[in-house]
Amino acid sequence: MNLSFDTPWLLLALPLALLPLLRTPIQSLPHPWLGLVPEDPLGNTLNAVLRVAAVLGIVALVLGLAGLARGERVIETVGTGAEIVVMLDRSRSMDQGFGRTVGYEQLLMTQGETKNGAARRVLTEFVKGRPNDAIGLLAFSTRPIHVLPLTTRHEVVQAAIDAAGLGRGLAETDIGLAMIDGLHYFDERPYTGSRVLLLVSDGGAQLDELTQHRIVEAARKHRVSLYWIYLRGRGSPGLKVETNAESGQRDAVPEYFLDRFFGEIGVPYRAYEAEDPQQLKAAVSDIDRLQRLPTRTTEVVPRQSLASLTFGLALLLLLPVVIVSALQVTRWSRSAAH
Amino acid sequence: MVAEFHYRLPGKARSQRPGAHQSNMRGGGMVFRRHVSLFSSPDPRRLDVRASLRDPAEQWWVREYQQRAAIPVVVVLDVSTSMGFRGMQNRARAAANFVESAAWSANRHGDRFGLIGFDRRLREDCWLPVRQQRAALEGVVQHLRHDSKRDPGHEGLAEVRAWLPREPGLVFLVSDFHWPVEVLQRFLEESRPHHVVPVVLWDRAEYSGWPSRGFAFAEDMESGERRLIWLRRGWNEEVEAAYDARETALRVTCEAHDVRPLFLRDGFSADSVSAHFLGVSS
Repeated sequence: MNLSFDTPWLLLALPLALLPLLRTPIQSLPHPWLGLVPEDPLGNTLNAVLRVAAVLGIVALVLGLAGLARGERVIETVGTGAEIVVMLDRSRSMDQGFGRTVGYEQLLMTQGETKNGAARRVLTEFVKGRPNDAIGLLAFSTRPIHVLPLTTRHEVVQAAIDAAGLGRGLAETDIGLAMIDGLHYFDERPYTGSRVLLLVSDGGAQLDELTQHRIVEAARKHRVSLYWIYLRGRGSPGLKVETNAESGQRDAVPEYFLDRFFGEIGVPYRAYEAEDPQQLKAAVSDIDRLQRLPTRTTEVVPRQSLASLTFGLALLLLLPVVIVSALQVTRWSRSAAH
Repeated sequence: MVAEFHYRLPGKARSQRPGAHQSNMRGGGMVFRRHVSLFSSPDPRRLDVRASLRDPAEQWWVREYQQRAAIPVVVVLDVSTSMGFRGMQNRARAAANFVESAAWSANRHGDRFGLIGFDRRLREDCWLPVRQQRAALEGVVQHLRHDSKRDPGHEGLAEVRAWLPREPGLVFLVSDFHWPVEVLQRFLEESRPHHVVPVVLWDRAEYSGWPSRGFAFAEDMESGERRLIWLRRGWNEEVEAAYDARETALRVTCEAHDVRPLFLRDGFSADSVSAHFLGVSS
């Protein structure tokens, strides 16, 4: 625990804490000879307690004024979860309705749950169910957007997932660039547990040779498991390939292409075609089951001001002095004449 | 008007100065002592014709009377810090009143009066030589009443003996006696031929004036020791018990020297002093 001060020169006032040992703010009652007054053990104890409390109270006060703070620390935690990078598609297409198109429904202008909304809802559940995971969040559209590094602070993750619903989708989708960036999350981290790249997207993409090469290299290097939750929109074709389609035709559809490419990388890969919320949930629970290995993560706790703590402590410690001085007696009772 | 009190020595004075106290000196007086022959006391005015006629040896007899004598009255006054205590009464004022009244009473009795003040040493500013005249008294009494400069201690009492008059007289030791009993004992032993009257100035506030609740930081006026006291019901009784024990201790010490202390708890009153000498009060 490393402590620091905002204004360390105020610590020069620390010797003031010895004042209660010399004097108390309580006015005294002069008596000609205390040798004749019996000892009051209760009062003596109280006196000692008062003085010590006042000394500590002033110390706390000075520390508070000097701005005591706990410095930045690095905490290492061992969890049983994985390191998961969630890649959330923020392209405009995610704002569209979610689910299979059924005939005439397309004509109705009713907008059901959007794909984005569904994804966020399920991710929220997912994060809730994995309290020990280190989770990073990357939103992507035309360019990848780093939202969160890998962290075990799940309230932050939840907030970031919620924030992904703000505003409208951005623009086009560049999954290739996002994949490379997402894999960079694992750069320079010790391999402490299973690593998962969770891609939540509603579309595929054609990738050029160079990008493909870089993705393959990074994924093998970091030993990342790939999971793709494909959010099928209205009117889009599914991932499941009609076996009778010709191969050239298949490659022309980006989803088919991406699915095939992921499968060929050589790392564990699984794709889920989430056609409706129930399927999506099932997909997430699958991942949940598959990735439960111990991990070790380090976390940086930021500088934390302890001023309110010290002031509260000072109040508590100086209160007895205030109470006793409020009840102090400085003159003799007039009723002594009897 | 200064109050006057009456005092007397328990025994007979041994002084050649004529005064108001019984003595065993012969001289002009009202109390018949014995017959002496005219040759040994050639004073024909006191010739007792009847006694001379009755004498078969036919000698001339002269009456001899006891002369009443004047004695020195000395107030040995504690002027230490604790004597400046103000409770129900102002103790310094009570002490000054006592000195003034004693000086006046001594004057009325035809006795000489002296004052010796002490704290940790003898105090020259509170000192009056044993004299008949009262010229310097007024200033000293005013000084006693209003002086705020006081030192703690009682060690000056040991030097007092050297300053007491050679002629045995009456010594009032005025103090609150807030010092060890042994000091009083030594003083009583040293001032042997004098008749000592310890005058104990106490204040009811000291022992039964504690408020019934609250906290008091009692500070010893002399040592400066501070003690926190949690005032509660029954505390006054505890202190009173301690003071009662102290009174008993003082009385026991005094009794060993055939001395009766005078306790003044409500300030100075001339009547209580007179009552003490008449044996009326406790």
